[in-house]
Amino acid sequence: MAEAVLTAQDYDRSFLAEVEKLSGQNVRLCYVCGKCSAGCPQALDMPLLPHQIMLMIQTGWRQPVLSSATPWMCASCGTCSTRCPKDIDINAIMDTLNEMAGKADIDIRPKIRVFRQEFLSSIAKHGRLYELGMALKLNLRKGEPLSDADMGFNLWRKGKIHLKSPSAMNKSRWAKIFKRENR
Amino acid sequence: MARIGVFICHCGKNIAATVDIGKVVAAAAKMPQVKYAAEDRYLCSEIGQNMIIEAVKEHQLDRIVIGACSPRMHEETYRACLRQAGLNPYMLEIANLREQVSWVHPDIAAGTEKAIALVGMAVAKVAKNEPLLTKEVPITRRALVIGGGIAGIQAAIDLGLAGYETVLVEKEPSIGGRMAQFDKTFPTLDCSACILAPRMVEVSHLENVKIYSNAEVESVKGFVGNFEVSIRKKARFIDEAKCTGCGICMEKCPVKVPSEFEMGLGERRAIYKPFPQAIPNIAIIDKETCRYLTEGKCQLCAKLCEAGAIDYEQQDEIVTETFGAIIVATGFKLFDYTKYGEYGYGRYRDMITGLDYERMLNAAGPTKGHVIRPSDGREPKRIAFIQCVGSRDDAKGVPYCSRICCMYTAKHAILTKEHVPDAEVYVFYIDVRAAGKNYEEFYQMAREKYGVKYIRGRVSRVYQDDGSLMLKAVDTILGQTIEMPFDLVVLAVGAVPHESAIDLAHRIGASTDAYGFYTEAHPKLRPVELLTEGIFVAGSCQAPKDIPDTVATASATAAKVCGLFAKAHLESRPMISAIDPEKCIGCLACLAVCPFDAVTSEAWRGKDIAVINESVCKGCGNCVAACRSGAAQLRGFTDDQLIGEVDALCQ
Amino acid sequence: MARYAYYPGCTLKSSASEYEASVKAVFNKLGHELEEIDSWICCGASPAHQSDAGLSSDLAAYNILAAADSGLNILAPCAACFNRLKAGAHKLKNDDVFRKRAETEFKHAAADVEILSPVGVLNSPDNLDAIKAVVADHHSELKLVAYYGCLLVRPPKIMQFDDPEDPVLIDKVLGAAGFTLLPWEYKTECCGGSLAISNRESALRLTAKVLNTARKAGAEAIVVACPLCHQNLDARQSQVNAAFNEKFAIPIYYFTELLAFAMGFEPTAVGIDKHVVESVKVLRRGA
Repeated sequence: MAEAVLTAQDYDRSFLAEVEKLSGQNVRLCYVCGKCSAGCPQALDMPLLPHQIMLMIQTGWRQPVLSSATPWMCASCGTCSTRCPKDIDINAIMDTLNEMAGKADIDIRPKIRVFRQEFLSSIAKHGRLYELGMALKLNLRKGEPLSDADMGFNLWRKGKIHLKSPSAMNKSRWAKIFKRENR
Repeated sequence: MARIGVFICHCGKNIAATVDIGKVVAAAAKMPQVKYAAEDRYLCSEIGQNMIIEAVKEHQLDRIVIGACSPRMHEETYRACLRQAGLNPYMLEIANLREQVSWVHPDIAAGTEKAIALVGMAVAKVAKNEPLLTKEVPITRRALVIGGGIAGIQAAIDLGLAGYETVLVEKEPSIGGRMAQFDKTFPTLDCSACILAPRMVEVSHLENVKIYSNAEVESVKGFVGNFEVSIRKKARFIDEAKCTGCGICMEKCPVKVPSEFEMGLGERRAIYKPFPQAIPNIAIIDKETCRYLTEGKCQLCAKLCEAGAIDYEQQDEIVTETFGAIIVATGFKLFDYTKYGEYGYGRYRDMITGLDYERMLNAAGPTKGHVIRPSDGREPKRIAFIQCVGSRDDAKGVPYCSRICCMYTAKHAILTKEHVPDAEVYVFYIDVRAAGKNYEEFYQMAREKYGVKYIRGRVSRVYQDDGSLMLKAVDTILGQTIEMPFDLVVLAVGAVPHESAIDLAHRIGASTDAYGFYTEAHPKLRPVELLTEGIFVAGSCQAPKDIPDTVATASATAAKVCGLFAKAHLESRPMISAIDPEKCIGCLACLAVCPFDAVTSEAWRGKDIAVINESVCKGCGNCVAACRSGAAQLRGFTDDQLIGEVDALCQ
Repeated sequence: MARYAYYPGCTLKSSASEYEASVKAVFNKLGHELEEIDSWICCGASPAHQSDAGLSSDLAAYNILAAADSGLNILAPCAACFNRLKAGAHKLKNDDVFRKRAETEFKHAAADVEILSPVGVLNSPDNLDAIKAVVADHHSELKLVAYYGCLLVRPPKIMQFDDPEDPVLIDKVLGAAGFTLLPWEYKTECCGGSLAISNRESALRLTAKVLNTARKAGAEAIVVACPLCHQNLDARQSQVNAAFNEKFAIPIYYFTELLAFAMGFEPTAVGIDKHVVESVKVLRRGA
């Protein structure tokens, strides 16, 4: 549903080209049939449906697209890409929008963003995921210290949660991967 | 010494925008033997052609080079112009400055350089052109129509009524085609059989029309005016002259198999007629399922047949006949919707195609016109139509719009409400295309009068749930996803050509597009001709068509054939091979490579030489390439001319 | 008998340790060797490709190149790792600029390495025959459904693995071992694995749908080949029950656990007792 009138400020003529370059997808192929939205398991939680996002990229509505929660709700299940009659990898476009919003520091779903940040910082530090460490830091940052404590306890009881952090060898080699300027 | 005129066309901005015409004209004026060079905005126009004619007179030109569009477009135009100017029409060469230069090279300097090189080659070639003469070729005034659907039937009727002998070949046991399977037709809701059957009868009663049903074209040789066609009349195992069509054999035959005509929703016997109004009204034995022909026992039909028409020994028969023209009307089949994994790969019984639904709606069909769920025979109350299955779908290899599905779905939706008034009918569409006469009104009637619910959005998934089919869909206008159960799902499956039509295209030397539809000679101006002269195309084998357009193209092909047959004679193409008897050493390498059997060996001054049959040669040039002594030359493309072109380019 | 460069990924070393144990048991039993890539690092999973496509590709390339010296194909049991490594291999193969940069940076030449899942490997005709030959008689009569999820099969252009709409490979290999697999319509619907921590409400809703559909199909247990699916369906089953007022108690097995069981391994030896939902007694009862 429209919450505001779109104006010239919301529009950016380079937006389409930017999304296409980053995602490697030709967004103009989309003829808005809606099959992506029809099959999307997360459509329920999306303020804009995938086909609407596609159409808005085509037109160039940068602001409303990048500040939409839709890309953040994407589960990356790939159903849209699998069934798209125009063979567009819509999943890759959602990733691109996430990346663009992240870089522009648009905080739509802070919890999701914090999770991704903590996950990546954990593997940047250890080379491998330190589940317990990540979970604790995450809960701290979210201000929800007991989030998933029930499940965590169950997994700990079954001996599946390690207290000690993992550590991958050859850190000097892989550490630079996490420094963006290297790419 | 030749006197060459060079004329360069701007083609409006088409050529002039990226080729410096002035430079090309100036360069041409300096080329050897060129006496005159000029330019014009539209050389093909009357003004342009008059300019050429005037220049020929004024400068005593004896041959012409045109720098313009592809010769495919206007070669005939300029030949006629030369004839008008009093020159032999073959004293002409065309440099293609549009398709091969301006349209593909945006750089003006490079394009101009290439244009000058192409004109230079044409000048070098035309200097060596010789006048060529055509010959008169007689016409066989008989037409062959391939395909006995409504298109083939209409074309055969038109030709028969015009007084021309016509043979109608149909691969199925009866003529009638797809239209015979339809229940009603849009947008008038005429009963399909009621309007088709009289046409079937009419064509079968025309004395100068012969119908070969259960027959297929094997090969086509020759050319316009005189095609030699071999037709395989497949064994029917019935003596057509004796069978009265009484039908007792089909009542008693013990073998029951799914009926092709009923789309597998009903059964037929191993000896059968595809449908009651079949023409010819005679039986056929299916050799794949007949108990006697497969297991060697039964022969019940032979015992029952009072006419003694059963002939288990019958063999395929090949007949070869000559025709002056051929009309191809092989129709369409449905896309194989079982390729849609997201719709269950065809494993749901309550998901059927639109063509299945036609049979279900038909009072003479397998359910006697009752709409049922195939899984349990109950009457469905919630029915969904999914559009664009196997059309507008690049991922499935069918990016084109099949054109007929929107309208037949509207028809199905209306008929559904007529048959089951309390049914909830939903149509899931992407765009409704209703661009024919009274089509939009018909589609609106489905919504307004019958309350059919149109939801804009492609269905993503269909799955079985509690005995219903669940659709995962979206209303793209509302921005709302939908998950709803249905009792019956009808797929509006798109049209694709028959594989056998693609086969046939190879055999008659016709080209097809990426999907296998026949390619017409010109998409706008020659829509019912193929590039092979004398072969015409009608109906859905050229692209999906509704019935009005199919009938219109069918009559158009008949008119084209009538025009051809009205000529006193045809003119042969002079650009064919000739063999210089002095040079020929009689090795006959040419005979081996000729695809048209145009070469024979004859004695000449004490030696055997190869001779070209001028009425058969098509000018392909194979013999020229094979000839070791240089005796074989293609008129209009002699070694001398071609080497002249290469020399000009290499200077 | 074959050798594979084994890429366990983070979860097989922690919350999916039973998947690792059962994969190793089954492969050893069939005479195959798994050689762990000693310097492997995390594939980045969804957080990487959702926030930084370049990082995601680099992580995959690093791991693929780390295995290059061994000359072996890579076996990645975790569906998420399998998916990321496949995407990386696809990029290495088709993006020359990327491959050259990766080769220089990670100091390895990219070999023509295949990324394999045990689901695919165990479906080779030889392995199917070998499995049939070693299964013990006491296979379970439990009614199962195979749940493939997203990551094994999508996107099909890159994964080129099984049928993206109706996959059959888990059904096939378990069928060969004598198990009863039911047909159902939810093989590749998403359980919300990538959202489990960051957006739990959505994940629980999707997980509940999978459990519900399996129950409707008559399944007593669900078989998976993905640690993310397993965690959602098993460890979060109690959360689903709480959120939707349900009483699901459906055991969730890795397909290799069932193969190991059919081959005669004790359930506890391959970690079946580590499931949160009781899974050992049910299995024994059916046997």
